[in-house]
Formats: sequence, C-alpha cells, structure tokens
Amino acid sequence: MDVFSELMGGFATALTLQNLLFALLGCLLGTLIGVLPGIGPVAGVALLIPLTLNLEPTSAIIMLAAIFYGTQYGGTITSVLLNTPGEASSAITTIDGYAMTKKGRGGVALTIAGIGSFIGGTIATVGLVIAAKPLGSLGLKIGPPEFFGLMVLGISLLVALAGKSMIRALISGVIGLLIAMVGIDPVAGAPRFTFGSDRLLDGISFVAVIVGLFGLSEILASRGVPSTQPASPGMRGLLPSRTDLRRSAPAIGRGTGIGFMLGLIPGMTGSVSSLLSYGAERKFSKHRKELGSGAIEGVAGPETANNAHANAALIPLFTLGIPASPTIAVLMGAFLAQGLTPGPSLFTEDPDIAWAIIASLFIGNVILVILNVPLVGVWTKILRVPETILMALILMFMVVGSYTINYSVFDIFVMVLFGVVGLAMRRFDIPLAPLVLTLVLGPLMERSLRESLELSQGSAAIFVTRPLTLVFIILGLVVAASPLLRLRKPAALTGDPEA
Amino acid sequence: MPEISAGVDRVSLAAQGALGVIGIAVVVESTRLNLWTTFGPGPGFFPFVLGAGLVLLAATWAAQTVRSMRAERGTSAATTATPDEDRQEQQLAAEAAPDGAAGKSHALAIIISLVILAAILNFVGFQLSMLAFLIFHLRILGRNRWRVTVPLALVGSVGAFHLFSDLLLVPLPYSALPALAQIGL
Repeated sequence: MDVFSELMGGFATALTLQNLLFALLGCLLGTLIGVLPGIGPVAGVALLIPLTLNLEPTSAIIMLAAIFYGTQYGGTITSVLLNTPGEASSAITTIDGYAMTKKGRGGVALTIAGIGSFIGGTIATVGLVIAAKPLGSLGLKIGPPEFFGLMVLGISLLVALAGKSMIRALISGVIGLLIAMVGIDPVAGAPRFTFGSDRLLDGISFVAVIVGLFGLSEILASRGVPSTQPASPGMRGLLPSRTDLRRSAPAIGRGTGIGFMLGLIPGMTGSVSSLLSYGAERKFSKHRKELGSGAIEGVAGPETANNAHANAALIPLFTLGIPASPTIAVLMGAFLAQGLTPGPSLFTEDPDIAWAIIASLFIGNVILVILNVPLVGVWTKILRVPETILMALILMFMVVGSYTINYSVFDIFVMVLFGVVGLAMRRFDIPLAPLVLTLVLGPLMERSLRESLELSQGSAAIFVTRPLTLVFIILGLVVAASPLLRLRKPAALTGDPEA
Repeated sequence: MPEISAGVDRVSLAAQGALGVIGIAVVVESTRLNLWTTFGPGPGFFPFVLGAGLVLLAATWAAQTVRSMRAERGTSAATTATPDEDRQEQQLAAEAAPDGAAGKSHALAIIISLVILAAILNFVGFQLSMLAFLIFHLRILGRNRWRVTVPLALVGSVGAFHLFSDLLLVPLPYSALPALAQIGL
C-alpha cells in the first residue's frame, strides 16, 4: 500500500466520532495546560496519562498528542495578553505580542499566531508523512549495537544543549538512568535496588517522577505571584488586516523552515526554534526596525516555528524511536504504557494506529485554529482566577494523576520526593530535560547495550566494527565535546524549563 | 556579596557530596548483583558504570566549585567596596530575605500538606482527605473567603471523586473506616 492510501486509512480511523472527541478534548486540555501557570507541557501530558490507560491505544495517543501540541497554542495566549509565557517556547513572543496588546492589537496577534501555528504544524506533519516510510525502513535495518549508538547520540545532543553546564547536564542524565534501573532487570529478570520492597519491583512510576520534577517543583519554586487581570479582545479585535497578513506571510515561511529543521534534532527544544526565528526576523524582515515595539513579524515567526518544531519532533520518535525533547519522551512513555513501541516497528506491527495518529495531527491543527481564536475570551477568564485557587486545584490533579497510575499512595510520596528533588535541581542549575530522556530511554539503552555485548560474547569491539554504530558513537563523542566547539545553548534560553 | 556567595557554594559542596555518596552506594550495591556472566554483562554492570560515573561527575563539579570559590575570594580581597555599594547590597539583601523566607515556608507548607494527605488518603478516603487538603490551601495558605473556599473544596473533593470514579471510570479510594465507607465517603 502506498503512503497516500495508508494516510487515508488513518483519516478514516481518526475521523470516527470517538477519536474526534478525544482529539477535541486533548486540544482543549492542552490549551488549558498552556494557559495555566505552574504546569508545563511535560508535567501536563504526564499527569493525563493515567486517564488514558482505560482507553484503546489509538484514542489514548490521539488525545495525548493533541494535548502536546495544544500546549503550544495555549502558551501564546498568556505571552500576548499578560506578558507572561505560559510555556517556554512562547517566551520570545512576549516582546512584540504584549507590545501589540498595549496598542489594542492583542487579538490580531493571537489570530496571526493561530494561523502561523496551523501552517507550521501542518507542513511539519506533511514532512512526517513523507519521511515516515523511508526513515522507518532504515530504522528496521538497525540492530542492538546501532540502536545503542543512536541513543548515545540522542542523549549526547540533549545533554550538550541543556542548561549552562555540561557536567550538571550529565549528572541529570545519570540520575535518570539510575532511577530507570530500579525494579526487575530487563534481561536477566533479577530485582535491582528494590531494598526488599515489592512496590519497587515494577520500578518507580514514571508519571509520578515527571509530575514531581516538572509540576510540583515549579509550584514549590513559585512565590505566590499575584495574578494579573488580562483584558479579553472582542471578536472584531481579532481580525487581522490585509497588511497584517501580507507582512506575516514571509515570517511564517521562515518560521516553518527553522522550526521544522530544528525539530528533527534531538535536544533542540521549541524555545530554540522560536528564538532563532525571532533572530531571523531581526535580520531578514523588511520591518525589522519595528521589532520590539509591536511588529506582527515578531509574533508570526516564533509562533510558527515552535509549532512546526513540535510536530517535526515527532519524526524521530515515529521513525527511529528516539524522543527529541522531554515532552516527546513523556509521549513515548505513554506509547509504551499502551503496549506500543514507537519507532520503525510501529509501521509494520501497528500501521493502522501509526497512520491514525499521524492523520489526527492534521485534524488537531484544524481543531485548534478553529477553536482557539473564538475561545480567547474563555481562556482569559480562566487567567482571571486567582493563582491561589488555580494552584490548589492543580495540586489536587497532581495527587489524582500520581495515585491513579498504580492506584497506590506510594506514588504520591514518590511525586512529593521528586518535587523536592526537582526544586533542588532548579536551585543548583541542574537541567531537568536529560533526566526525563534517560528515564524513558534507560531500559531500552541497557537492553541494547547488553544484547550487543551478548552478540559479541562480551567484546566491546562490536561498537567500532559496525560502520553505522561507529558513526553514531563518534558523532555522540563530538557532541559531548561540544563545549570545546562552542556549540552552546543561547544564553537567553538558560531559564528554559523544557531543557 | 561574598558571604552569601560562600554560603551558596558550601550548600553546593554539600549537594555534590550527597551525589558522591549516592554514587558510591550504587557502586557497592551493584557489586552485590552479578557484574558479568558467561553471556556478557550481568544485572549489576550498567548500574556499576553509572554509579562510578556519578562519583566522577560529582567530584568534577566539586572541583569546579572550589576553583570558583578560590577565584572569588581572590577578587573580593583585591577590591574594596565603597560605603555606598555596601549600603546598596545590604538594602538588596533586606528586600530579598522576607520573600525568600516566605517562599521557603510556602514550599514547606505544600510539602507537609501533601505528605499528610498521602498518609491519610486510604484511611480517611479521598473525599474527606482532599476536602481538608483543599480547605487548608484555599483558606489558610490562599486566604480566600469561606464563601469561595467551601464550594471549591467540595467540587475539588466530592465532585472530583464522582467525576473520576463514575464518569471517567478511574476509581479513587473510599475510607478504610467502615462507618465512613458505608455513607459513601
């Protein structure tokens, strides 16, 4: 069957009433998570995994994927109306978005951001459709040594790009791998680091760890900042003029290209894409002198870039089984919880599910652009709720989310413990992203390492005698030496909670 | 502010020491597992490498901290702050302190409330324990009025219980006390 027929089959599944409802619900929840303070996309997606465990795999992943890209739209609303980014990749939008709000043009900024996000997200999804088969076929040819090399490369990229210090990023990665070691050993079946407790035989709950690290620690770190009162733009204020559309078009084009390319690279977060897109506008836009004082290009470019990035980041996950960012790593955890293995085998073992999810990405982008612009008023009303109320309710959801993954209060204690660990990591500038990635990849990485060494009867030469493995490992080492090559994350993004 | 900076670095050194101890504990525990089998690496091999790596990384980070402490001490000895600068720094510290103290007690209150909630959840049941948890957060920490606190706490406890258990089919715990469980709590 050709790609087009398979995609059409995917649309047939994704367009059933049930899956449409889950996509809609996911889009709404994702936007809400993007809007709410104290809960970013990583914790938000993790928190909702338990709710999807009773669903069939296709519906569950459709909903979680919709939550994931819905957060990108939601983050824009607070950036534009409140000068406070709802999530990291919308931070740069505050500059011109809020300046537009002060001029009474906040509604136009939101509409252009919605249109740009739709175009960027849709084009990146087309890229996923085109890349799925060839990259997936390549992925099927790789064995345990190559897979191990690929994961070394992916983790090296994330570690090199996260935070200010390579040492601290590596510490974060090692902690994630150590947490993943708890429980039954995946090859020999021996219990490890369980300290005689039956509760630890299945390992430490991934959801509780993520919710604690990203959600609770964010709330613990906040100092009860009083909520601001955003004004809701009326429907007439939402409509962009012909000049706005004409000026936005090149910025949307550049944002799509930048977001798509960077989304393919593990370790690059949406924040990097939106920042580089803003940089491109400062260099190439005809109206670059207006940037910083409410130029529409300063909203269109970065918002397009972060959505193109979010959808393009699914390509390495679907084709090679490598998550490119912490949120994608959580999504990968959801795949695994549903008994699905993201990667090349997904297209051979569960092609219907794979193509239905891809089709749902197109549908989700349409839902978001249709819903979000008219719903701006609703989101701004939510933002008027005092933060003390929002925080109490968010804590309630964190407790429920952590408890329901295994129906055990032990996981609430785990969530609290990792909230404290996350707070300490923020305090010492240890990035959280490498921990999430290695936590998800740890068991797969160990399995591929041990299977490789079993294949070679214990000889490490297997990693240098297979060309593709050698290439991946050399690239990983080059990336690990990146401080010498000055391949560092832009200073403006060091506060990026995604990294 | 050299004193504050030195304090911060001492805390960093304590954290690095803790990481080193964890690394050593992992190495020791790994050796109790099988490090190598006739088929290749055993269950203890990967954790052993990671534990050793953590010790090495913690030591490198500690060395970086000590180096920066020495460099800072050298700089502060070479430069003498003017009285104006001293006053400015003291003012900044005074402004920052209450916020930091409030932040710490706020964080501590959240942690303790969550621990108590987790400890009593199965015993008292979700509805009553969450009701108390939300009243604490909304009324005592959040200083909201009773007319806001009570309806929201009821929705977040009793309402959430029925939403998850009845609609989403995600069961939440009833009380282990028969008297409470019999009346649906």
